[in-house]
Amino acid sequence: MSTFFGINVALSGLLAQQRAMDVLGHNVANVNTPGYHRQEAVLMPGQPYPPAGATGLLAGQWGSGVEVQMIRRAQDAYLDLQARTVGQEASMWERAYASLQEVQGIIAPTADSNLGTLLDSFWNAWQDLSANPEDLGARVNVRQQAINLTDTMRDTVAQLRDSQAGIDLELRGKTDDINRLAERVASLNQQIAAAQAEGKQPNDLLDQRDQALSQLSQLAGITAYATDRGDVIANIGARPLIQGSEWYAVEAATRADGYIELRWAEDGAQVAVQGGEVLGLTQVRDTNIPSYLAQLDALATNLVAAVNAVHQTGYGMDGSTGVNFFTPGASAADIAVSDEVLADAHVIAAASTSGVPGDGSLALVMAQLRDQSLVGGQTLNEAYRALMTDVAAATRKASDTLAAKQLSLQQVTQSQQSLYGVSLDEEMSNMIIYQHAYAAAARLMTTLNDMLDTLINRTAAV
Amino acid sequence: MRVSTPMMTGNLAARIAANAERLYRLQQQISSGKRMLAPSDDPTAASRAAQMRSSLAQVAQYADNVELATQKLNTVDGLLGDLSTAIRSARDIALQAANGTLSADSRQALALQLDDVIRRVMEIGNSESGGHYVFAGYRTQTTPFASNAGATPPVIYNGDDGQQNIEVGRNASVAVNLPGSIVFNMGSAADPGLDDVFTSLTKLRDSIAAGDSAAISQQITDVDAHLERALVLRGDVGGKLQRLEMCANQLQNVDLAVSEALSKTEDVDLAQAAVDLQMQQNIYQATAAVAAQLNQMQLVDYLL
Repeated sequence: MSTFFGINVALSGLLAQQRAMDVLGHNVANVNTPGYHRQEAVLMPGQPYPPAGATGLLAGQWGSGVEVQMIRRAQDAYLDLQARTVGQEASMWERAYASLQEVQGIIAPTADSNLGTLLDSFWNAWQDLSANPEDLGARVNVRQQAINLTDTMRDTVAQLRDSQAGIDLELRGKTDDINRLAERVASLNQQIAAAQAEGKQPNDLLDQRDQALSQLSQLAGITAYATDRGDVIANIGARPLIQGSEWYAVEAATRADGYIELRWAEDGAQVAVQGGEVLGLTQVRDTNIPSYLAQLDALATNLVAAVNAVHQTGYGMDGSTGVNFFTPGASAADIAVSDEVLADAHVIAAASTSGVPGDGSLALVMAQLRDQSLVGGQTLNEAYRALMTDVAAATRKASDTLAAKQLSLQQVTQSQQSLYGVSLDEEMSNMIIYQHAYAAAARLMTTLNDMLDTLINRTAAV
Repeated sequence: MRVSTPMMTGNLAARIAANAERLYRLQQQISSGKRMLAPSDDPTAASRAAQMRSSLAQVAQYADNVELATQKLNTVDGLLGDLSTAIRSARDIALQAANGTLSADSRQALALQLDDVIRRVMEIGNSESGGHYVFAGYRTQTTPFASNAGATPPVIYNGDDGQQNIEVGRNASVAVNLPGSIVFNMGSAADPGLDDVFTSLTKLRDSIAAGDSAAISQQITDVDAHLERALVLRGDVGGKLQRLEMCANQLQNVDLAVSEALSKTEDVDLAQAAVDLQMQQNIYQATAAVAAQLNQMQLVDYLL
C-alpha cells in the first residue's frame, strides 16, 4: 500500500464522476432524438487490494475507489419486438386505408352525382321519350344522358387503373428504401460485432440499428432476431434479408399482368412479404381494386347487352331498325354510345313497329329495364349500390382497424419511452449528485494533499 | 411508471392531433350539412340514402309523366265534348227534318247544314295538339280522316289502333289517347252492329235530302247510339283523369316521406354538431393550456 494510495482513490472518484457527467451530458443532448435509448454510467467499486488469494499482512481488503464498469444502455428486446410487430400492422393498415379512401373517392365521389344517379337520369330520359315519341329533342336527351353515363364509367375505370399505377410507383420507391436500409443494417452489424468483440458497448450504433430495423419492419414486415454474436438476422417470409454483415437485395420487377412485384435480386424468386406498407399496398392493388373493376365490368356488359337487345327490335324516327344503342361487346373500360347513334339521334328507337311515329312502347320497355334483374339477380342500380357498399365497408374496416392498431402502438411506444426515454428531471437531479460527488472527491484530494504536506514538509522540520 | 420527457411531449402532441382531427370533422359536417362525409363513415346508411335518392328520382319522373298524361287526356276530353256537341246539332237538324211537311228547298237547306256538321266532325277527327294528330293512334304524323269523294264508306281512317301508354307508377300505365277508330267506330275495333259516325251522318243527310221520314227516324236512332258512345268514352276519360289526380297526390306524399327519411339519414343534426364543436374547442384550449404549463415545470429551470 503506497503513501499515495489515497490520492489515487480520490482521483478515481474525480474521474468517475466526470465520466458519469459526460454520459449524462450525452443523454441531455439526445433528449429529443428519436430512437435514442438513455445510457447510464455504471459505477462499481474498483479492484480491492490485495486480490483474493494473495497472502498479506494487511487486515482485510482495501477498496481502491470507484471505476466506470460499463455504460449501460436501457433496452428490452421483448418491447422492441412488440413495437415492431404492432408497428408493421399499423403501417400496413395505414397504407391500405389511404389507398382505399382514394378508391372510394373514385367510385362514389359524391352522394348527388355518381354512377347511380347517372343511371337514374338515363332511365328517366327513356321515360320522357316514351311519352313524346315523335320528339327529336327527347332523343337527343337520351343520347346525352347515355354519353354522360358512359363517359363517367370509362373515367372511373381509368382512374382506378391510375390508382394501381400510383401504387406501383410507390412500390418502386419502397424497394429502394428496403435495399438502402438492409445495407445500413448489415454495415451496422459489422461495426457492432467488431466493437463487442473488443468488449465495448456500441450503444449509439445499437440505437441506429434498432431505428433501421423498425423502419424496415414498417416497410416490409420483417421478422428480426439477435444472434449470440450480437448480429441481427432479418427475414422476409422464410428467406433472409440480412444475415450479419451480408444482405440480399430485392428488386421491383414487372409481372405478367403489367404490375410490379418484389423479387429477390439473386434468383428472381418472389418476395413473400407478410406485412408492412408493401403488403397493404399490394393487397389494395391486387385484391380490392380488381374486384371493383370486375363489378364495374359486370354492370357495363349487362347494361350494353340488355339495352342493345331491346333497341335492336325497335324502330327509329327515320325507320331504321336493328341498330345498336351502345357499341356492342364493350366492357366498362371502353363502353360507349354507338357510332350510329352519335352520328344521328333520329335512329334512336321509340317504336315497336315500323312507320308509327306516335308509338313510344319500345322506349317504355327500355325505361322498365331499370327494375329488371340484369346483374346476378340485381337491378343495375342495386348492383352499383352493392359496389359502393363494398368499397365503403372495406374502407371503414381499414379505418377502424387502423385506429385500433395505432392505439396499440401508442401504448407499446409509451412503454418503450418509459424505459428508454430521457427524463430531464432525472438527469438534473443526477447532475447535482455527480457535481457534489466531484466536489467531495476534490475536497478529499485537497485534504490528502494537506496531510501529505504536513507529513513531508512539516514533520520534524528543521 | 417512469415518465420520461419524450413521453410527455409525445403524448401531448398525439392528443392535440387527435383533437384537431375531431374538430376538423365537425367543421366539415357543419359546413356541408351532411353527417357522412364519405360512404365509409356509415356504409349501411350510405346505401340506404343512395336507394332513397334513386326512389326520389323515379317518383319525380312519374310525377312529370302524370302531369303530361293529364294534359293529354284533358285535350281528348275537350275534343270528345266538341264531338258530342256536333252530333247533338246533327240530331237537332234531323228532328227538324223529321217533320214531313217541309218543302224540298227547306230539306235541301237542312241537308247543307248537315254537310257542315259532317265537315265539323271531320275537323274534330283531324285535331292536332303539339304538332301531332290526336285521334290517329300511333300514326300521329298522318292525317287520320280523309274524304273518300262520295264513295262508301264516305271517310277513310288512315290512322291505326295504337294506344299510347305512359307509366305513372311501377307496372302502372295509363293510355293517354283514343284511336280514331274507337271514337268514330271505324276499322277493326268497330262495333259491327253500328255504322261509323261519318256513314251514319252521310246517310242522315241523304235521307233528309230525300225526305224519307222513316229512314230519318232510323238514322236518329243511330245518331243517338253514337252520342251514347261518345258519352261513355268521355266518362272513361274522366275516370282516368280522376285516377291521375289520385296518383299525383300519392306521388307527392311518397316524395315527402322519402325526402324526410333521406334527410334523417343524411343530414347532420346541426344543434348537436354545434354543441360538440364547442366542446371540442374547449378541450383543445384546455390541452393547449396544459402544454404551456408543463413547459414551466422542469427541474432545470429551478436549478439555475
